Parts: sequence; C-alpha cells; structure tokens
Amino acid sequence: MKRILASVFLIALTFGLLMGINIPLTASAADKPVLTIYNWADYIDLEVIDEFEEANNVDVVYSTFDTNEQMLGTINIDTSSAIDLICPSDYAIERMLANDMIFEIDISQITNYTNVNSSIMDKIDEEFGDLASNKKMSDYFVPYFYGTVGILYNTKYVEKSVAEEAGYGLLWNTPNISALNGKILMKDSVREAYLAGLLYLKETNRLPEKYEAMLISELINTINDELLGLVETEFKEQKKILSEYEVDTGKNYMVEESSYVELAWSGDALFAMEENEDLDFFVPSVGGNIWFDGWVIPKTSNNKDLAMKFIDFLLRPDIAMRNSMEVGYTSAVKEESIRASADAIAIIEDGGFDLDEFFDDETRYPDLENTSLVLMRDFDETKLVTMWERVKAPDSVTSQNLIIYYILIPIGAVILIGLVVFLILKNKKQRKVVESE
Amino acid sequence: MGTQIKNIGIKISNKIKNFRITRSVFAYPYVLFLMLFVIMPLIILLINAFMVNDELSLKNFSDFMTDGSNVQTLTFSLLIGLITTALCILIGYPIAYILSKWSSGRVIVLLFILPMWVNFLIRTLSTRFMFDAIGIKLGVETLIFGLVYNYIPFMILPLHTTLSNIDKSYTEAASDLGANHLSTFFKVTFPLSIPGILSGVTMVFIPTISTFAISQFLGGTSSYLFGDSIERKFMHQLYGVGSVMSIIMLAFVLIANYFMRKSNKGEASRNLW
Repeated sequence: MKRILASVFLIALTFGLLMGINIPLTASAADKPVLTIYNWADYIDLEVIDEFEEANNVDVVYSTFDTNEQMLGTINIDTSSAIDLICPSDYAIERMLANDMIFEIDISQITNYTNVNSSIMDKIDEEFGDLASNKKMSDYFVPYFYGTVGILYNTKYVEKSVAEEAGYGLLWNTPNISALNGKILMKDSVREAYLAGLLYLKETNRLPEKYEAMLISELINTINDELLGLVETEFKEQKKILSEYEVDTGKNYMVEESSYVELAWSGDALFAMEENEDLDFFVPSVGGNIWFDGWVIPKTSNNKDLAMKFIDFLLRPDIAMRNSMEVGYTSAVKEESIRASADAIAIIEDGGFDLDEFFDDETRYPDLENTSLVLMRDFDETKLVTMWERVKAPDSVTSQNLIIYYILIPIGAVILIGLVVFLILKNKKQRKVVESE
Repeated sequence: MGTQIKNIGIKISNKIKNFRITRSVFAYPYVLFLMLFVIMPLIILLINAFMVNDELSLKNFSDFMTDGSNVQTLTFSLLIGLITTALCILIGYPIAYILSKWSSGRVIVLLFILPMWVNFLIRTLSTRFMFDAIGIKLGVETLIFGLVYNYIPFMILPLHTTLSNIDKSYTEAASDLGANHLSTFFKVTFPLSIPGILSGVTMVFIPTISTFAISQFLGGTSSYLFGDSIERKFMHQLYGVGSVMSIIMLAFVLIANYFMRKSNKGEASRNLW
C-alpha cells in the first residue's frame, strides 16, 4: 500500500513538475510582450535581435535548429509552445502549409514589404502553383535568404573550362583527373544528393527515354523506384572515389585543401572562396537547385502582430545587409532598395566589398529568371533515406579492408573464445572443489 | 461548516506531523530523476516502435529486417565493436599491469588518460587532421584507431583498479611454492583480474557500436555504424524504425549485462572502475 501511495505521489509530482515548467513562460508574458523565434543556427546577426528588443520594449526568446526535419519534429511534438516565428526552407513551408500549420501573412501590415525582391515570389508561385486548396505559397511567408546548390572546386587541380564541362560529373571525376581521386566530398543530405545524382544522369544522357523530355523542374521532383535504383548504382560507383560524406565540415576541408571538389551551398561556397582564392563555384549548365528560406507565423503564435513587426524590421535594407554580412547568404531584399539606402551601402563597404562586385557576383546573386534553376518540392523522404542508407552501408569485404578482416577478427575471436573457455573451466573447477568437500 | 474545515485542518496537520524523514525519503529525488530521464524515454521508445499510425503493429520490425542495409550495418558495427574491444584489452592490459607494478607506470597512464580531459569531439577532429597531415587515407583502419584511442581509458581504469586491489601475498605465495613469473601471472594474477576485464568490456563494446560522431569524422566513406543509422532515422523523422533499432541496441546491452553477471557472480558490480 505504501508503495502504491508513493508511486501515485511520484507520478503526481512528475506531472506537477512538467506543468510547472510551462508556467513561467506564460507568466512572464504578462509584464513584457514576448516574441518567440525559432531560426536556423547562425542565421542572424544577434545584435539585430537586441536592437529590436530595445526599440520595441519586448523580450525575444530565440532558439535554433540545424535541419528542417529537426524543426518539424520539434513543433510536431511540442504543440503547446507558443512559437511566433519560424524560418524554414521552401519545401518545409510547403509541408507546413499542407498541414495547415501556418497563418496567412497580412502584407498590408508590413511597410517594408516593397523591399522584397518580387522575382523570388514570382518564381515560387510559378513552381508551387499547383498547391491543394488553391492557396498561394507567397501569401504565407516572407523570404529571408536564398541561394543555390552547386559545385565548389579548387582551380589548382581542375581548370575552370574542364570543371564547367564536367558539371555534376566532376563529383564522379568524369574528367578522370588522378589528383581528384579520394579528394571529392559529397553532401550527406538525401535531397541534395538525389538532385546531384539525377542531374548527373541527365547530363550524361543516361536517363530512360520517358524522363528525357521532362523539364528539369519536373525531373528533380520525380521520385520513384526506377530512378532511385539508377541513382543508387551511380552513388555506389561514386563511393569508391569519394573522400567522405559531410554536411557542415566540407567548406573547411576545401579551404585548407584537404579536398578539392565539393557539392556545396552557395553561401558556404562564398565563405570558402573568401578564405581561399583558388576556390571557384558554379552551378552546372544542365541546371540546379535554387532554394529559399522564409519567415512563417505558425498557428501556435499568440503574438502575431509582434511577429509581423519583426519581419518588417528584418526587411529594412540596413538590417538585411547586417544579417547578410554575418551569415554570408543572399538577402531577399532587392538590389534597388539596398542601393537606395546609404546605411546599407556603408555596411557592404565596411565588409570589404566593392558595391558593384558585390551585386554582380553570380554566386551571390544567381539569375532568378534562369529557368534551369529550379525549386525542389516536398516529398515523402522515406524511400530516399533507405536508398541512401543502402549506399552508405559498409560493403562486407573489399580489398582495402582485407587486413582487418583476416588478421584482426581472428585475434578478437581467439581472445573472446579464450575468455569464455577460461570462465567455463574456472566454474567447473570450483564446482569440483565444492563437490569433493 | 466550520467544524468540517477544522476537521480537515486537523487531518492535514496530522499528516504533516506523521510525515517522518525516513531513509527512503532521501531516495525520492533519485527515483524521480530515474522516472523522468530513464523510464519515460524507454516507454516512449516502446510506443514509437510498436505503433504505426496509432495502431499496434510490427511493421517497423519487418521494415527493419527486410531492408538489407540495416542488417549489414549492424553486423559491421558488431565486428568493429569486437575488434575495438579486443584491441583495447590487448593494449590496455599491459598498461594497467605496468601501472600496478611500477610507480613509473603512472606517467604512462597519465599520458593515456590525458586526452580524456579534452572534449572528445575536438580530440577526434584533431586526430583527423593529423591523419590528413601524415597522408593516411581515412577508412576502417582509422576508424578503429579513433575508437580505440577514445575508449581505451575505459578499459585501463577498471583493470587498474582490479589489478592493484589484488593482494600481493597471493603472488608471493605462488612464487614461494615454486611458480615462475609466467605461471604466477597466468595462474594467479590473470584469473583474479577477470572481473576488471569484464567490466572494461561492457564499457567499451556497447558504446562502440552506438557511437556516431567518431565514424563520421574518421570513418571515411567505407564505414557506417549502427549509431549513425539510428541518428539518420531520427533526423528524418522515421521514429518507428529508429526506435526499433534503439531497442535492438538495448537488447545488446541487456544481453551483455546478463553474461557479465553470470560469469562474474556479482564481483563486477563491486568493481565498476
């Protein structure tokens, strides 16, 4: 009985504690308005947040995530938290919109909305035009940063013309440059990998006939067993010449030249190219992925107006440039608005850039009108993940780890068997002693 | 009405008076901690593993078994775990032995333990850069090096404790009775140090299988451990299969523990370190 009481008491305490955790959050909202922001890690100039807090006399609760999947997981589990602003990528916004998780954004409340580069919105509505229930994607988010996925390479080892001719093939070392073997980095991210694999097949005209006529935008959004199978073979082939799979570390390896070719995001590429002058970046001519991250207001928000105010604040040209300098990606605030603001220009020049060079850099400002730069839609990733795991799963016996299998395994086995036998003998002996007594 | 309140008041004050600080009260914080951070996560794991779309099902298990790559990754991880453990014993035992015999052994052990005070991610990343500088290609070999390097202190410490706790009079008695150094070691010291080896094995083998950061830094393209696979499953919100894999890991932990206990008859529990 005592035990039952104790456990009931404990459970009650546990729940009490859990609820207690939530109380301070809501309680503090009473004295000062609180804005809860959930953003990518390293994706804002933190001083901008301080400035916003001071200017509006509010508290900002700021937390970060590393992947869209992580973010979606968090808000799916923790539905009680009052997050007011999230900054997901395009396909994650699509998923959130499909699940009816976000509010429509009232543009009239955002005075700086005219600063947004409208070709971004056009591009998004064009490609995400067929959403269910006739919703327009652009009504639900305000773009923040954008960029492309392309190939970062070292010009010391690959000439520019060779690289651009090889396109995605450079990741498979199609120019057959011996220095590249074991020096190629692949993104350990299923979406980027699938994109590169498909476009590599397209480049080398090895796609089955029915896919050949497809537009790039259709092709990279098609996912089926046939294509997955084809891509899988290519990846298994690629594995032999790769240095490794990476997500965040690759740009550093490129800078210090421990690797020479990488599938990279444009922002990382800009960072790396600033650190090492020999590096260059391009999006292959066959086409590539362009992506957007934007602010959405989830339905859990209980401070919509303040969230709008923050978005408005971020769209100020000088604030946008401060963030862009800090983060390295391309701001969604349009060029004309930035050029019109003396503060913003000063920030760019303080960052050590020439204004014209800054805007003419094709890595930083890809041509949004280019139809071969396409968006990747949301799709069920399960099959993609299992395909990728099959690629990554270690091969049983290959020549390079023969030593391990033929020398070390027997050693390990002998030691373990020895131990077991020893223990059994020991036990038997002890039993005999007991019996004889 | 007034008397009722009074009665309740008396009842409550009695309860408070009767509340005695017994020894078990001190255990409550720990029990609470265990409930929150051990039992609850395990229950969530079980729910995730057996529920598919709010229905009880074994689909996650069949998904796990039918996809060849999972089993391949598991066997690979077990092999790597075995090799790492074996190497840890081979390298760790002599060091622990030296330390327990010679006072100069302290320096050697200090050198082995020293890297433990550096955060393991920094340590592993710098190991990688060292391999780069020397020009060694990353692969299974470098992965095993990294694992042994990281986990060998967990083998040395319990061995050292056991070895230095062995009463010296045993070995003295053995040599008095005519045993030479070698047979003293194999007939007296080694058998007495087995509990240390066993607790070392538990502390090396299981963490090795489930590790993921080390293999990402040092494994190159040819290695992918069970821990990496679990991490990826959870990252892509495939909680079902991920939970099944975690449960399989847990089963390994329990099986290992069972055997350790059985062969040890409680000696190991005395001798965690």
